[in-house]
Amino acid sequence: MARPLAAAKKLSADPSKDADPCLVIFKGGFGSGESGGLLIGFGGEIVIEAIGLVKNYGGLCALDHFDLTVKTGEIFALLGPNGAGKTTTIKILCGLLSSDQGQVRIAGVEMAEEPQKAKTQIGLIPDEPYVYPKLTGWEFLELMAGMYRLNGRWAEKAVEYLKIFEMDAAARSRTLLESYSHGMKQKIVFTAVLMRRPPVMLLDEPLVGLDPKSIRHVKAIVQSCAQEGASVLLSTHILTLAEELANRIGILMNGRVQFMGTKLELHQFLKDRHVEAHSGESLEDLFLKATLKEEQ
Amino acid sequence: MKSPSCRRRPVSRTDWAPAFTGVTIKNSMDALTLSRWRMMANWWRLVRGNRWEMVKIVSVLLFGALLLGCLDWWFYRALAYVARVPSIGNLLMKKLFEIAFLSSFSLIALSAMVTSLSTHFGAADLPLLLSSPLHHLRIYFQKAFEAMIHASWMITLVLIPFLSVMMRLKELDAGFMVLAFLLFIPFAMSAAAVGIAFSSLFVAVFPRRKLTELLSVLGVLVFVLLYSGIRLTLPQRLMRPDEMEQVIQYVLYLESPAAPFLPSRWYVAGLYGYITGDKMRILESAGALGAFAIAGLGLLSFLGTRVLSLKKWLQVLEGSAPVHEKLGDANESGIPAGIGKAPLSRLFLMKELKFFLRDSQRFSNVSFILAVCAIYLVSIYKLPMDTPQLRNFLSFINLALGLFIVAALSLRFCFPQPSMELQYAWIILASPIRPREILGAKLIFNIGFLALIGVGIVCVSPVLLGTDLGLIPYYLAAALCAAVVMPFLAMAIGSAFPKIRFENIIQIETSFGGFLYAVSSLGFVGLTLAVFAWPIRYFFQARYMNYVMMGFDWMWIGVLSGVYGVICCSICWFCWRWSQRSWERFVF
Repeated sequence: MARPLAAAKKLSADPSKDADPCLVIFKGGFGSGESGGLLIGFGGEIVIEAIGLVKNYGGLCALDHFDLTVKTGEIFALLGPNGAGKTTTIKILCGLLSSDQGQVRIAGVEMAEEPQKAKTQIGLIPDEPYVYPKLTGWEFLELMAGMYRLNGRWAEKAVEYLKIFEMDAAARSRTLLESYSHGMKQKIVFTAVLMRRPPVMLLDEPLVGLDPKSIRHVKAIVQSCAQEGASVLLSTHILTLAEELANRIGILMNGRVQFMGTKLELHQFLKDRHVEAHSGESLEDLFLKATLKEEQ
Repeated sequence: MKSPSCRRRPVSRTDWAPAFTGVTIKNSMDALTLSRWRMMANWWRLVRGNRWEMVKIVSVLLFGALLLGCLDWWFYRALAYVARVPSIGNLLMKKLFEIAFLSSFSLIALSAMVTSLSTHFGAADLPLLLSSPLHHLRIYFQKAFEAMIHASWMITLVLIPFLSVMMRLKELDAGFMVLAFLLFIPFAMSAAAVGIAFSSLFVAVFPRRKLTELLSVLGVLVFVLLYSGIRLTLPQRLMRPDEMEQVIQYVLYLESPAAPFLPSRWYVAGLYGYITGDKMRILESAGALGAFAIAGLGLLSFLGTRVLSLKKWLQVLEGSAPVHEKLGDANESGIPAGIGKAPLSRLFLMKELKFFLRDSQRFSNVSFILAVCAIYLVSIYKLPMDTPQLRNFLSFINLALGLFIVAALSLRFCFPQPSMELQYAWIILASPIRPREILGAKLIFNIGFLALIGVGIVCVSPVLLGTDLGLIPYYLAAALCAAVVMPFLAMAIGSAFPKIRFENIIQIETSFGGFLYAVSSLGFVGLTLAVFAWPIRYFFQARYMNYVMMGFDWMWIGVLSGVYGVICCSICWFCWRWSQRSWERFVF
């Protein structure tokens, strides 16, 4: 795992406060990748930036002037009902979709102008992981290492994560990926992303198909990644997960941002709209009230 | 957690991945190429360790060898006949060669055009590749290479016996085949590059979801027009110089290259350089073909950077995805009131009809049907038939071809249905619906569909041929029998050997089940022809030889009909039981 040269100032336990800016230098941690570079970032530096994104599918507006910023070491949860535009957002951010309007910057690199450079910074875990069915687990990891031009000790990192997910024997055996269950494929994809320690992680429903033990590991790993400086954008329907992990949340409905901020700010947001909300309510309750209000 | 396919022995050092020893792959394209090889090696490892898979592979290889052997025999007879034509035999052979390779060039280009629509715009690994830091041009060329292989391997196989016959007729050594293979590589590359360039250009200009269908339809249309054009010019006149107005015109026609600016001309020139011992000719041809191939790759490079940029490619991929349409009210969907209480059979029949009408490939499917019918009708319309006997004889051949087309259509449309349905077996098998209800609806739909097509082809074509209308009832009976039996065979074999993991329907048709179905349906066609040959033979004898049918003859017809009827009913009953049992025992 990473060994920061200077300890990062831990994000405030009070989610109502943004992280104080601080100089965080990492070596061997997230952001340095395996290319031997060094990322010097200010805690609080914007790493994921979407400005004025618009996306239409025929007559259907999937995203309507969507703005988003995610800072170093931040976990941002994107919430919303089905068809709200969450997956569209993630696909645009990772370069799989082109927006009709707007800009995307990843670690200061414009996605439209330097897509290869931007994608090097991203670790994407889609909701339906694709793996080549006729490869073994380890061969797939080798392929990913080659595609991302990893050198050095990526294999050790891969084994480390495979052991965490209890997949080391399966991945190194001659069993092909077509025999894997959905959860096993998901773990391989997680390993493929984590072994290269990207500074940006985009997770689309990452817990689907995982067993409870792996879910706990994933949560711990995501938190650890963020603490070591990675910026995490998480799209999920599991509000308890968002509540547990996220520093900030965004609620998307019909392609528009209804709310963006912390849980406390959501509470205030509802109060301002004359919606009854209590301070001890869960994120799920607040979310349902917010979306119900919007539907009305 | 252990996968069922793990061998039960301790993991040894030899099982460790080679990369664990510290080897690093620095070139991302090497990683992709290496992975392709590994996929093939892993597939072979799986097959080798499974006896049933080996049986399937060997069966397919044997059938393929038989097919190639038949082609070799037919090519030898045809080319030897042409070679023996006095004075102009060699010229005729050369002309045939040029036409054959011009056709091959066109077929590879057409095939690559259609294949690249899948590899470039429909492959399942595209999101993985496009979200990686790989340059999109590298991915484009990787996919282009895959399309080239897929587009040309089958045509290459068919050309092997053709070239082998040429080698034997000209008494050449094995160096001829080596040269033919070496020259074929740039030839196929340039043909495939043309096809891929066309599809890339079209989808870049018209990035709409329906364009893939449109291109498939256009490709089929071009092929039909090309075939019809060739057929209507009566190329058999080449065998009869007196058909031409002047002999000199005929000889000049033979001597002129079939397509002076296409690589096929250079390919044939290179081979003939070997035949005549003209090394300079061989080098010139190799150089020209190499230049064509490089130009083709250059064209793809230009299209991949300037026309089909990354943004355009992503737009095209986005256009290929299903559009999220809002559902209308139940009353607007055309579902009749009270549908919940309709019999299940009617529900499933309506489902089959809706699937067919809403199928995104219906235009290409329908165009394929129309193209097959058009090619077939044009072929027989221009057959040289001078006498009633010849016309009636050929009408029997017409029956054979018509049944063959019905078999081909059933492979294309009926056979994949169980596999496509069993993709979602967990929905069906977990419900109280019995498999017979779904299978029954499919059978009714497919029988109706094939009966319409089969009766249309088999019964309308005799009218075009001008044959005796008294034969039509026999043809009608044969067509109806085929239209009934083949869907039963398709459902049974398709259910027993389903292929539920596929990227396109062709993978289902070319699976082992598809091969088994093809053999079974052709066997049934042969049986039908053997049985119907008897009453048709009696018809000819009565009509043209004043033969009077005796009691024994009628009894023989009766016995044949009875046995044939029992066989058909037995096949249908057996296939019906087998398909149900396959569904009940299906393990998802």
